[in-house]
Amino acid sequence: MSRGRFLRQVGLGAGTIAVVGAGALGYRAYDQGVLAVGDGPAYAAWSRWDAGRRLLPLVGAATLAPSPHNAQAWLFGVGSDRIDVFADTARNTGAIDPFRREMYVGLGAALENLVLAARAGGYTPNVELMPAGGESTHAARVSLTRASARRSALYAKIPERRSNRYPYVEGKAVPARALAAMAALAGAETPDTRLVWFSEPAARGRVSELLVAATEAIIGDPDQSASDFAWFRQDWDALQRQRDGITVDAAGLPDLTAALAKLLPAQSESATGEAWLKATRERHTKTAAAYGVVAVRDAADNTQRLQGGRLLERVHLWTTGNGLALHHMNQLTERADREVQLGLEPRFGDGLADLMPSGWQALATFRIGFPTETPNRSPRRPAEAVITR
Amino acid sequence: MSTAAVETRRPSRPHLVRVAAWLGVVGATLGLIAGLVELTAGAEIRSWVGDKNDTTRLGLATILLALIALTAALALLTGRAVSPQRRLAVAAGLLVPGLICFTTVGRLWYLPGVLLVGAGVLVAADLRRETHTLAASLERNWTVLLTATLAVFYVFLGATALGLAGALGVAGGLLVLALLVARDRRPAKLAVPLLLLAAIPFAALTWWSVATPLIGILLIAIGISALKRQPRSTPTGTVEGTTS
Repeated sequence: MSRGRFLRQVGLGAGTIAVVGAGALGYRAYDQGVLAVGDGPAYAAWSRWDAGRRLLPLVGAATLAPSPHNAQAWLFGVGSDRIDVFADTARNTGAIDPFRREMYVGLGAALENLVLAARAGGYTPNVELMPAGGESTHAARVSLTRASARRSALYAKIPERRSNRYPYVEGKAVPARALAAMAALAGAETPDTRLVWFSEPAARGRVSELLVAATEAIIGDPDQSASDFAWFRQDWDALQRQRDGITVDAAGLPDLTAALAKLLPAQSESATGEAWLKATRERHTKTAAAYGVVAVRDAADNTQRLQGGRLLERVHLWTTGNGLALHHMNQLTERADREVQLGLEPRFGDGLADLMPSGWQALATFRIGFPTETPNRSPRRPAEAVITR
Repeated sequence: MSTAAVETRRPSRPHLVRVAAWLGVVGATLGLIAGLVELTAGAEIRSWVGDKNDTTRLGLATILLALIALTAALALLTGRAVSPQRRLAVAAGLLVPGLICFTTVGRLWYLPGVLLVGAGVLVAADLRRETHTLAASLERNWTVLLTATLAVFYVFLGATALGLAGALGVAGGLLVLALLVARDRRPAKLAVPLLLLAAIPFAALTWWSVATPLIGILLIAIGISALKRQPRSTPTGTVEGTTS
């Protein structure tokens, strides 16, 4: 064989290997939905939530609410003139939420969307919380009577609301009037609830320290770490099938990092935990313009949890309509509850108590700021999938 | 061209090839029906369509692949695929859709898949005596094949991507395929600019995906060589495409 022919064959061989490799990478990109972010059945609920007859759009609105680990632990019983909201306890987040505090906060957020959608759909909703008793899974009964439609500004933001896990604009404070406007969202429908803000550098720094420490404690706790990891969806097909959980696309990562995370083999539990800690330390707490805490008189009371969840969702919808970003960060309460469950020294329980005004208990924590990126959607189960007979 | 030379370009077992052609036509037609069923009733019969969530895209992809297989089978049936190179292309046109759909479609593909793969194997088996001719031809056109493969990747990834980027991916891939088909009929100066126009927009808009920029770079690197006009003489000195 001549030298020229040999070199040509080597070149063709190398080219063939490169094309086969590119094909494999391309197939992996297809299989993991790298180019189809926010597309497919898992995301259809965001565009079809208000479709369907009679009361179905109200349930559709409720399903777009945030929930702990996007577990969507809700079920809805739909009658001719009422909707019952139930906790789907099988979708609990395990050791992350040992006393189901977050589950009821999430149900409260769904309830708020349902109420806003009821008014927009021409109903006057009458809400009864925990109608079967404080420990029941029957979270609320919403009785509906016909009225003129009232589409509120908060209602209009339901399909646009996202949890924004990206870094926020550094050094840009949230105006005091915006904080006051959000605090004023606690009203007659949510008695025993209030917002507590931490916007000054010293107070913000204290909350940041506690959040980073709580994240470390969670990933160092095998049960909590496993419960957290169980809701992390890394496989595109599983995500499209299950339509719930935390995803790479909604994790607030740069586009290239997110694509690599989807192309490479799935991360282990410990690697996921370390990535979360790094994000909390280097992005989330570093760029928070302020922290907010939804406070109630008794954080163990399911009725107050539901009310707190309603207030939290109002705040989130308000930020969406006013150019602000919000990210739920519940590591502190998750760790405080875990301390109680295991009888540990109340490091985070005491830390939270020190932060709260006298007579109030922390229910849910979040950060706000000015967004640097538009966040992606999280998967959702459609209304039809969460209706119980 | 001599009569002997023409004879070597015909199937050695025409009956076998005719059977393969009919198997291919029936298999591809059943594949088209399977695609239509996925499109219209796939959501109700997920266990029959590989448990796929997006049965619309699955149906469209199945129909496209079945059409490729049908084109290949009809070329064989009507005698348009006489040369070994064309019969090799027909074998690929039957085998590739048949095998791809086995990996994605599910039970609906079992019968059409078996028929298409069977037809492809029969056509390939008939080519055994012409391996030297085919090897020489493949070596001569290898960069064209690699470029066409990369262009198909572009079309495929473009079809799965969203919005403008996806449309540019599909259009870019199709433009490269058109350039390859017409590589002896278009002005030589236009080849590289058109190749760049086809490859760069999709890769640039989806740079973060890693896959498309890599495919785009290979498309340009290999495509430039593939789009050069080649002398049409075969190693044996005969001239292709002039058989009467």
